[in-house]
Amino acid sequence: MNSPAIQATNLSRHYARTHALRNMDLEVPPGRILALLGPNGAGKTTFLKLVMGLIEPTTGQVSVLGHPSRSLPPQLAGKVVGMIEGHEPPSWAKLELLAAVQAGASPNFDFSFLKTFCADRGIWTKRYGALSKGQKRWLLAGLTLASRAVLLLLDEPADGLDPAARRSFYDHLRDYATDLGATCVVATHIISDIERVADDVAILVRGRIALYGSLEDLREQVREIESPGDTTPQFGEGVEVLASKGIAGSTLTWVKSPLDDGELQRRAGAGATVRNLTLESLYLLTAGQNGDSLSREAKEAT
Amino acid sequence: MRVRIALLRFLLQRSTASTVAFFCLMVLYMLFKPDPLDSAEAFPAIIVFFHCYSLASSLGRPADKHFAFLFSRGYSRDTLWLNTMIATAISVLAVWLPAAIVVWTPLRANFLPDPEYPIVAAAERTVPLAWLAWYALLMPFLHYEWIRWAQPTRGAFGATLVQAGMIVVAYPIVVVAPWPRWPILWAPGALVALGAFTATRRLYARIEVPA
Repeated sequence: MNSPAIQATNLSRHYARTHALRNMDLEVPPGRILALLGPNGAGKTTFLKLVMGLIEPTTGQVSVLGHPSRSLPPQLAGKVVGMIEGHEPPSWAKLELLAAVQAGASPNFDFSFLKTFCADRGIWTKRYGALSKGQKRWLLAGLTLASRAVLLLLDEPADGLDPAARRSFYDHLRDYATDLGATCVVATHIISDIERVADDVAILVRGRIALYGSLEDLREQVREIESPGDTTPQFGEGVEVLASKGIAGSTLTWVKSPLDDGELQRRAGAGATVRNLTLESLYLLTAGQNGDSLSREAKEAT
Repeated sequence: MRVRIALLRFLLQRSTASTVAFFCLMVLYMLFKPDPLDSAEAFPAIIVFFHCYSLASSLGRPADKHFAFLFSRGYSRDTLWLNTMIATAISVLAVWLPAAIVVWTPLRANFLPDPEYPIVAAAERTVPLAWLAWYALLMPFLHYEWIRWAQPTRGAFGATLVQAGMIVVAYPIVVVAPWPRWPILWAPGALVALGAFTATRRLYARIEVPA
């Protein structure tokens, strides 16, 4: 069995009095695309920086490709490439130089891919500072994908791209992961885009993992049940109640269960309806529309 | 740990503006200063200090987003450190060597109308070595300072102490005992500079990139 691409154990990072990440345990298998979701300040960028070895954990550890992220052997350093929010080249730099810089770090750098990726975007001859926000993101995305690294850490990679470019970027990312068997961690707020390509999803809330699993399993297992009355139904064994909320004479309950819709409907009682959730609904349920976390809502429900 | 030409180009372009500015200042000073040059002169010392300061700031500042960009490209810390040191050395030579050539060749003697200059020029030959010694003393300190200050988990207090130590060590060496008059006084300076260089190397291996 392959060792995990990323393994975080009891991982925490504090900045003065701010706890950016708390006791995080996460194992990302190789060859998967992980969507890292969460509200602003949930710890997504901190996690990516820890995985890149840019900052030191306050407690715990994180291993990348089987080695501690802060002391990767030199031959593995070029296999982990990041596109971290705020890490930008100087405004005078042109793509040609940036491509050469990336090629210096990445032994399998694919120059022809970069040329194709950036063709017709008007970014070859301009200085980085003269590009629009979307062009800058496209350029950085192109450099990152051309690196042919086995682990990509992407922080809001499609931020500033128009809808067509976002779709195109994520299609490239899907192909990249499939062709190279690469692992990609994508922190984003644009859920509809990542939903098309992600294999797994982790939702961070206040520095903790509130939900983690295969997107397919979560879609199949997490359901929204609307039942008449203002009390949460008792589902019995095999059903985990995630949250519950009363709305205009009925109760919405979110559950996680391997049971089929018919069985859940039967347990919820007469008049109940069962619905599957989109990733966006899962996110809103977990992170809370007003920043209320799942754990808080679950406590209220039980 | 490898030399990467593109990375060197990237780093050197970052320091080009200050290197060109200090090159002009240094060479013009050499050409137009009518009095004999002295190792303890303040103006070249100031140029060396600010050039070192700007190099350390442009090449080795972890809090800078451009520096962070290089770290997230996948370079090993060893490679980044080696190339940063080479870029620093090239930038230093780009200012020091032309100034030294002006002094060592008949350029300065021919440029100045003073008839005693062909004779004085011989006495000035050791002066560029003093500037090089200042670079060797200051550069490791300032690289260490910039990196240490930007480390969120290691605190800036130690860096401030190092800076105070640098002033205590460097000032008397540069002003009181300019190279090569009392070489014995430069021995502790060289040791301290070597210590700062080694400390920078070790710090680089565990550097945090807070940007």
